Amino acid sequence: MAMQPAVLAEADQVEPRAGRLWLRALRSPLTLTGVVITLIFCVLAVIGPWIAPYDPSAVTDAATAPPSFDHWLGTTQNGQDILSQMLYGAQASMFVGLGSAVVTTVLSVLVGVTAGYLGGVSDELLSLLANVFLVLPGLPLTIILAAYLPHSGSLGIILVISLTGWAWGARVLRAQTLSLRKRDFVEAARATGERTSKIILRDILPNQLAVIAASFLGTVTAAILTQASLAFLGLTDVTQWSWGTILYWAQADSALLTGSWWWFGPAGLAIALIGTALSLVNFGIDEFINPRLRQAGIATLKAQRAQVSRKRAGRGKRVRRGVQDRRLRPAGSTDVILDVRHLKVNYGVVTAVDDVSFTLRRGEVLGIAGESGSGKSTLAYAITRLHKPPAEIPQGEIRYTQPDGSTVDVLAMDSDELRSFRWEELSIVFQSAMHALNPVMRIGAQIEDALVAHRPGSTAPERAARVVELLGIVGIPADRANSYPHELSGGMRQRAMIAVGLALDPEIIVMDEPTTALDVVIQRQIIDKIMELKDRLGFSVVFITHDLSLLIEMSDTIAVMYGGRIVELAPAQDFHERPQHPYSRGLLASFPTLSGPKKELTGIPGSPPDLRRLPSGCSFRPRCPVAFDACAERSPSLYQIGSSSAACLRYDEEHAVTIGETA
Amino acid sequence: MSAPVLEAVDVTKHFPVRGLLKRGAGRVVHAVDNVSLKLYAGRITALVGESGSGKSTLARLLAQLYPVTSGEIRLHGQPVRATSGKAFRDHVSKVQLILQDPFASFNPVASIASTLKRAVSIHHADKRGDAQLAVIDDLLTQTNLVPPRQFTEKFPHELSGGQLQRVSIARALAASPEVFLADEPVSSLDVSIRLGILNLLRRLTEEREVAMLYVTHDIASARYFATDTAVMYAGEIVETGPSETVTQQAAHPYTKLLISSAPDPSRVDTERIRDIGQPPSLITPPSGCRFHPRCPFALDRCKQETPPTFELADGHTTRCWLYADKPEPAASERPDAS
Repeated sequence: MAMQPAVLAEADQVEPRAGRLWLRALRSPLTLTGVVITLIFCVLAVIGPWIAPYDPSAVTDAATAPPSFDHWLGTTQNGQDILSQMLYGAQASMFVGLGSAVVTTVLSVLVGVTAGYLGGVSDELLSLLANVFLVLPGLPLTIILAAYLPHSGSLGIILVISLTGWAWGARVLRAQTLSLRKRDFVEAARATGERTSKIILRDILPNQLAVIAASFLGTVTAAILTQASLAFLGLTDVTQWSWGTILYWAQADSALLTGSWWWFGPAGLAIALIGTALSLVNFGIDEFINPRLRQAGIATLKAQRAQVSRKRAGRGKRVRRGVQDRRLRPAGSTDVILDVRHLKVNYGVVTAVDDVSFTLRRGEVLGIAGESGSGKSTLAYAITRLHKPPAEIPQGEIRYTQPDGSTVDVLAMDSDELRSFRWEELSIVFQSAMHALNPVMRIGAQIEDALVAHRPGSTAPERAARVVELLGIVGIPADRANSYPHELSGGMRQRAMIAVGLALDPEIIVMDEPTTALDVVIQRQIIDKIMELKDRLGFSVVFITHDLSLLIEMSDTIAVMYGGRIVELAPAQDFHERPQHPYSRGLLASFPTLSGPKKELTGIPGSPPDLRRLPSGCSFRPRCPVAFDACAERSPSLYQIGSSSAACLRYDEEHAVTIGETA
Repeated sequence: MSAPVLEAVDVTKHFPVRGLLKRGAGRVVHAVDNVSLKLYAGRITALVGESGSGKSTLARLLAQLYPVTSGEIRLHGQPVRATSGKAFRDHVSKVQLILQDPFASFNPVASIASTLKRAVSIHHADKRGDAQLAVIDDLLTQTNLVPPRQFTEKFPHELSGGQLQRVSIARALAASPEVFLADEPVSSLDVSIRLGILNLLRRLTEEREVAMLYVTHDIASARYFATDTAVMYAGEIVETGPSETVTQQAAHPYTKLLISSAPDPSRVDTERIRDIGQPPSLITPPSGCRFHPRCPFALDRCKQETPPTFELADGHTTRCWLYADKPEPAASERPDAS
């Protein structure tokens, strides 16, 4: 099948092997430090009693001696060796820490996941139980229980800590299970015929590992601290050595007053150190568990990139102002409202929009078509200057012609100029109205917000009248002004977004997939409304979507983007009848049609390119049915063909022969 | 025509409404009401409708992921009521569901190999080790993911949407099912790769003689891809028939609205069905015909009586009172018939 070459080409990436993941996680110096310290403590806890130089309880003559060669950490008032006490104590403290964490985590996971996955009555009962334990006052209960169980040793303390600590984790895990249970991959596993037990073990739990691990490590620290506190208060068996017991005796024998810092110092330091080490491990765990983050510390790379681009953006701006205006053709006709020249947008080293030029005329609808990763949304953000780091514009011009005929450089605007340019001259309507609207503000108030910010002189009644007018324009009943976004249907919300966009009578509206999430019938209503408003109010529209059929119907001019470049720019009608670029032809042959006889759908082999690994030369080459050798060497610029222009080497004079062959 | 493989007979699904302080007590969402649908071996049936029309719910009822409120799901004529346990696993080994969003339908922390291994170990329990790997390789090859070993070690986020949807199909194939229920299998994919996935599904339907339900909101794709098309509105099927007939000689006013709303640059006539209103609430659906509040042709009768199914011709049926006395849609209402 024709699908194969592209699938192959995309597959040859180097991927991390499962076995090396630990190494990868350990590559972070902080995580490594945490792991090493934790391991040292664990080893000491196990071998402590064997390597301790003295019996920790043995009394000698060397009372309250500072660290020396005989007693590395000095001695207590009774001449007991503190190093030996610390080593014996490590065992007790670590045992309590790990033991409580294991019991607490097992309890939390059992209760939380069962309640979350089964739901219904068992959920309600288990949640009730967890809530009861959650409101039990932890510290007093711990003290009381510990007072009753002073001689049960470490096991008693583990029991106390686990009983008071499991409920919190259970609550978190229940909530997470509830949301995971609704995810598609759990439904997919069910639909495959997987048993519930396996779904919990293999779909639910692995996705909760980060939370489980965090709560486990947190409990270890908390348990060590609780044990130390209880021992310090004398609520445990004070003859059993632990770091807390050392502190208890140090306090009881006035170590602080006598300035015997070596007595209480090591125990305090050990507790602080293990706590820090566990926190460091905790940070590294997310990276290890989440395969997305595994690729060699994406987070740090991103941070570096953001910095570089910010520096470069600053420099670029200065240079740009100095550069002479090298326009290909003068903006002769005054009806050009937006003139974009050689615009380039980078995300770090990745170029998302490359050498894009187009003009937008007054009242024109420019349709920008493209698939995911084609750069169409990046372009929308760049022309509104809404792009955020790491995105930066290293080269290009965006010239906006004001209604009075004067031209301003959008890229050179400072933040004040930009604020008035956006919304007043140019507004943007985003794809997801639910996310773009503030969920806790009434629709009317959100429209009014734009008026308050940009028309400071207006009075409240004026603004209220304008809100009603705007809602009427987009076809929302006036009484809906007091609705919250969630009370409106998807189509109504999108209309509200358009009303916000229209609030300040902009000259240009940029619409980034405004109807993609809507059903066709609602989409039709919205599109009809936009076209009617455009005719009435005379603004220009930049309409961005992947839906080529829709674009051909509503646009005057169509720009097709592929791999960050415009590959074809043509009047909509010409584009529909005579697409010039092989990609455009492929796209048009991918759409099923409703009217007329059925045509043959040929589609395009392969998948859209990854901007990080664009092929050399023409980026469409690997999927192109008519590619020839030169396509791998040269990236084609736009060639004029009648009223259209297409970025394809077949239209280069040098290759005129080839055109003859293929046409 | 041979007997249907999988069949929904007068199926109804109501979801209880949950509300604060028992406000929703006793109220239900009429997600699917009294719907019958037949799926035949080697044949693709499209189920077209807008979001909230109940088309995805119907697919899940057929997969037995939810129990039906009333009516019956029949597999080879035998009623099945198995939403858990061994009976459910038996059912899904014959009826497999493919979900819409390939990015969401994979466990993000499991590699492709381990996801497929689970499906293979359920449905090929006798295969172990190398035999299991061979099955996985074969599944990936059948879905054109070649060479298979370049995909098995990857994690879901490392594949493109099209590739992941192929893996979804491979996972469903592991069961060697008799029925595929594809719930919007290409809606979240890029335009240029949709066709490849649809062609793959068509090839599997034909080669393996399976019955395919293609759930979609895109009626144009139903025309090209499915033999038969059923149109759903507000929980009910309003029109069924051969896809070409349904799209070219649509009978029900809702189908006409759907067709005239779809973007289509090839359309010659610009006359459109007037749309008045919004999809109805499914908690309190309109009386009579559920489309009547939006229908430009609504009669008094439409408000009171639920229309029965009228047979128009060669398997073309509709539930609309306009056809109560007519065998065929009126010529004036289908301008492209000439």
